[in-house]
Amino acid sequence: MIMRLLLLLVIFWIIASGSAFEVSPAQPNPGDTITLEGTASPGQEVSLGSSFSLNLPVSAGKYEYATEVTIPQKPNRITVTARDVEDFNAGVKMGIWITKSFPASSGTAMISQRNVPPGRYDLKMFGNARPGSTNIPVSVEAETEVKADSQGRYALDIDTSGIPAGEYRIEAGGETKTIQIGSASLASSSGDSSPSDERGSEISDTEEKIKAKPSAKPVRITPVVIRWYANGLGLDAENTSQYEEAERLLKKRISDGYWKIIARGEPLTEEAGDCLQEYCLVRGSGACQECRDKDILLKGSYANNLSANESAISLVNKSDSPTSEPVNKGGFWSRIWDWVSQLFGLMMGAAGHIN
Amino acid sequence: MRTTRVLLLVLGLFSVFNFMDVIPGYAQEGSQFGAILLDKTDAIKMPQLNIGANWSYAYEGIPVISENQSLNGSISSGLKSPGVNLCIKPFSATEILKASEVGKSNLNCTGTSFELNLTEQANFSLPGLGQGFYTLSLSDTNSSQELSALQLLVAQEDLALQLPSSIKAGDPLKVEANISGINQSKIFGVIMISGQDYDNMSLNLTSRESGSGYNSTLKIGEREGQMPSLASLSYDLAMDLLYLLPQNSAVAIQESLQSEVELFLITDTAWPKGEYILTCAVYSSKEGLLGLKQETVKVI
Repeated sequence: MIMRLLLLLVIFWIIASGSAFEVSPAQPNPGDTITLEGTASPGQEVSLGSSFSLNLPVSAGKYEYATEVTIPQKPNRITVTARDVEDFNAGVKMGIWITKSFPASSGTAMISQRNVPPGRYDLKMFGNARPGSTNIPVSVEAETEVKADSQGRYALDIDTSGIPAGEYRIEAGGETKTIQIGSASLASSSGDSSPSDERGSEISDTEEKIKAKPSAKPVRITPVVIRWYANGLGLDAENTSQYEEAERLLKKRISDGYWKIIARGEPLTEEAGDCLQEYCLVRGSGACQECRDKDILLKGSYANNLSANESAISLVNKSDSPTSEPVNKGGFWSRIWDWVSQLFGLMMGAAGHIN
Repeated sequence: MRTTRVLLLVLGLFSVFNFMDVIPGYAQEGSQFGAILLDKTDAIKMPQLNIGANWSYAYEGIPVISENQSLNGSISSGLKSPGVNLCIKPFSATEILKASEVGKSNLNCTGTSFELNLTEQANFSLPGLGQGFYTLSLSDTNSSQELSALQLLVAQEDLALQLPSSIKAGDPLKVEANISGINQSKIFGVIMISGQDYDNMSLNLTSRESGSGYNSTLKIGEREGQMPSLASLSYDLAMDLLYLLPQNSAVAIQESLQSEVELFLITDTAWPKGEYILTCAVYSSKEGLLGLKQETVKVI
């Protein structure tokens, strides 16, 4: 009887203090804003947390990742943990690039920072992988708090820019939900870059490949995709200027909907089977029939106003393994100096961990 | 505080005296008659320095030596008769401001004094100095006129840097910093700033109207930051200094127990090509300035 009462009390407490919440949209795409709404006690401070993981590919013993992240409202805490690393370097651009380096402890390096001023930041992570590591598991956790209104309602918008496709875990008031950002194929292509399948496939040699199924969704253009494209062009993706040239050409190529890039496993066409490589460049639904016919005749060199390198991608479809993610260009000028001060204040902590 | 200091240290490397209380030779009124020439040492390039309304110095270098390094050089008095004094004393910004106001340096040697019975020129070799900032001044004992002066920065250890001579804009710059003999937690900091911006920096020192202390203003291009007290280090001051940096600048920091670390400076493709000045400092809260080194790198 006592146990039952205790159980009821626990259940009551959970109901009373629990923060039932909803997330919308349920299946967001990368870059979408997620709205989290829930209820709690009026005026209650509700702790909210979110996290995601990604695997960074290792190339020549190094890993690299660049993105732009949106930091939620204060109070907040951001924690980034990288495993299987020898060291970890984090660069953030606040007008100028400021880089902090951390040696790893037993292969793990962690940065944890609280009360980061809200805003968008260019972020780079890079370093040396532990010998034998083929990818670097990185987890990113963000915590914040919201105050429920007088009706007990609370809401928070989460900008998913910079968050790769894949599972995204959200916690609110002790309750946890996991949603999927992007499709499953997107998740596998952007979040985890496994070595490419060596079975290459020509992209532009058959008409069948032109007839892509509507279900073959284009992937998001991530640095991995750009690197893959650069390899196909014969450009050196390690070279920033060549990487940016590849990015420009790729965006130009897919801008009118004629071309699209699909991930491994997506159908090339109804008859031609699935994409067997990391990515495949195929004609998109926006390609008109006349263009397709013309494209068949020219076998990939249709794009007269494109550079030789650019058109070569349709003929030379390398299956090189993707390497580390290159740097992300762009930036902004933000006077968030209080964060800078905190950033440097972090160095007071033990090596490999800031607090 | 330790972190703030190293940040200030790094940021102030283009104006070393800014927080280290060091300043270039200020005995200009008599310097045409004598010279203190140090044997080859490392040096930190300074920006334009304006002291009060009267004195100005452009882009001189501050010699940097380590504690275990003897101070070797030569003195040229320019005098026909013997009787010169070499004084080594801690630098004082207040003193130099007063000197600028009256147009005459204070020849009272509060440090170590050497009476030299030389005429024309003589070599000297002095044992290592303790960590700190010093003024070396040469004066004529007969006329009580300062002949020459220079400032000297003494770090605890030698700091060695390895970096490529050039990088492409947009590529990261790896800097290997190695400081020997210090097995304690220390902070390595490095700052990279274009030579052009470096040359457009200035530091103005002015006496306070109250008569005590001084104000300093660091200006980089169109931006300037007030540093009411060089002795009082704070985050705010560090942030103000950071804000002054042009966008084509970069900072990297690492705390480590190791004597050798790798620092990575991130550049952008939009950075103008040309020579950049890279200054690295190592700091310990217990020991103070452990090492200081400046190098150049070309962005191509």
